[in-house]
Amino acid sequence: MARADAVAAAASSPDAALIAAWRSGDEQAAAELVRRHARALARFLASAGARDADVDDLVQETFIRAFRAVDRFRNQCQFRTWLLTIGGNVLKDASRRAKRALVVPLDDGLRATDGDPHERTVAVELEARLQQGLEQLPRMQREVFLLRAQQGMEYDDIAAALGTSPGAARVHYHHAAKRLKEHLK
Amino acid sequence: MNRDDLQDAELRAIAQGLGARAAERLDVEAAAQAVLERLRQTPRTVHWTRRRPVWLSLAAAAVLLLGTSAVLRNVRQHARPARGIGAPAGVDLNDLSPDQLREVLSTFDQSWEDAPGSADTDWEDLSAPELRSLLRSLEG
Repeated sequence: MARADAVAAAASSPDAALIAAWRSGDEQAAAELVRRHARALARFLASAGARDADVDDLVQETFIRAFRAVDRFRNQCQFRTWLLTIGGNVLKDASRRAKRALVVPLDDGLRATDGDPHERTVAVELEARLQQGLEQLPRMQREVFLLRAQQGMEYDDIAAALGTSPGAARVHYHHAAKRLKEHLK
Repeated sequence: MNRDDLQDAELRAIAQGLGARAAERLDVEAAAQAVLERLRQTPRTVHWTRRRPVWLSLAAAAVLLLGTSAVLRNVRQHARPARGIGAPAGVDLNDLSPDQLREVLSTFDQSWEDAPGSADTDWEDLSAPELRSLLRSLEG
């Protein structure tokens, strides 16, 4: 019962309160932060080039790193933005270790049965091409694009998380979008 | 879709579809428990910076200062031109009696001991001219 109360209390707390609670050793606060941000992180990692089979491990590793380094988070940006940039580092390290091509297999998507099969096929094709285009971008452009276009983050927030200026983040986004549009033509 | 006219909004729409399957497949609760388990296995290291006590810094500075001044003093002493040994300034050796000459010599015991040929010479037995000659030789 006490655990259920703790879980309920954590679920209604803002990120900042959960982070403060975790800093003082509250495990439920950490678990709630995972529940809150794990799916967005998984989407970000998969879009940035992680293989589907690796996403689960990468999500865990990212949270571990984030919780261990939480003293360095000073609300300079949203927790999620900060977390996703750590995810980018985790993915980079993992792909460096694995030295393998990071591609998203198309067959899983093509097997999807929801919606019109033709539309679904076109959508999957576009996603696959966008994925390929993203993999060809410099890392900064790729992360800024995903944080902005996929996660809906503000430029100020993105800039704070990536250690750059909002103007530079905007430029990275526009370069990325231009190249991706060229790739999708 | 006319891909030549691909707009930002469309690009974003496609981007938002990326990774959807990976997100759907993720067992969030299992991930949360796995993360907690791993955090328990390797407790968070306390990040603290080793701060040097103020007294230690002050002591180190004092030692450095004393050491530097000692070295400087030593260097200055060695750099100073060697002063010859002789009678007090303004005193002519010719005006001194043998006892006074011996007294002057006795003030330079160390130099006398270091002087060449001093080991086998007892200056107490020397005559006044010999003492003057000795003092002049020590003056260089």
